[in-house]
Amino acid sequence: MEYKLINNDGYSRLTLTGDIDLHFSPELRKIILSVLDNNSGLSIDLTGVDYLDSSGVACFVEAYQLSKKNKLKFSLANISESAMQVFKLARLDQVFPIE
Amino acid sequence: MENKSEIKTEWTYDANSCSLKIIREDFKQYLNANNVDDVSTGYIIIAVNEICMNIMQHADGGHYSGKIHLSASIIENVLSIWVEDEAASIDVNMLKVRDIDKLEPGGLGLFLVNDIMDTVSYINREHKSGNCLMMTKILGNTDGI
Repeated sequence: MEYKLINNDGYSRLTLTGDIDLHFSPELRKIILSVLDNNSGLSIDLTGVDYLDSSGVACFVEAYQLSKKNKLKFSLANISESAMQVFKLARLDQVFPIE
Repeated sequence: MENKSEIKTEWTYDANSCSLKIIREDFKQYLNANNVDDVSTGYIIIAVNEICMNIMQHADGGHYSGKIHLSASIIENVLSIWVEDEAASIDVNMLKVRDIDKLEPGGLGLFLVNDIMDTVSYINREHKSGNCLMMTKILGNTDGI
């Protein structure tokens, strides 16, 4: 799992590649919460995500809820086929804002 | 579907998150070798990953550092998977499955497993320690679920 975080004028773009599973999701959660703690909006690009498990989905759910609470922009972008498969199974494909 | 796998195939892994990718790769290889279609393979791997992850996260109060034993067989068109650990026995009634109408971070794993597999059940091990979950899936559905 690799990531690239670009901060730009109160809005951050986090690009994720590889497998998002329990091995990486604790670090992912810290990265996401750190961005949101700085009152930055966040877009997460999932183009290169090969595998997504429920621990990764939990990070996105928490981020979405925190963003709403703090009135920050949050969205997912370029969702890979394998990640979308999990969102659909979890009935979350209609819940997250998607660019 | 050709059945090459009426004999049980077994794997053992350390119960830590580093094992998850290896588990997924091993299981993909097993399903490919048994001519399971790619869509079903993708879903089944999600279910296996989630069950193993649950053990890593929750067994022995989140401190389990033993082994996870996986085994599988395909008889006719029924895939059976057993997932065993050596942790303290769990109270099956305490297992949390997410209410799908509530948006909350936890409890999604078992929901996915129940959605993907046709049966999911814990086996009473009588005098044996640890836990054993057995799940089955009828292969051959074109949509994979």
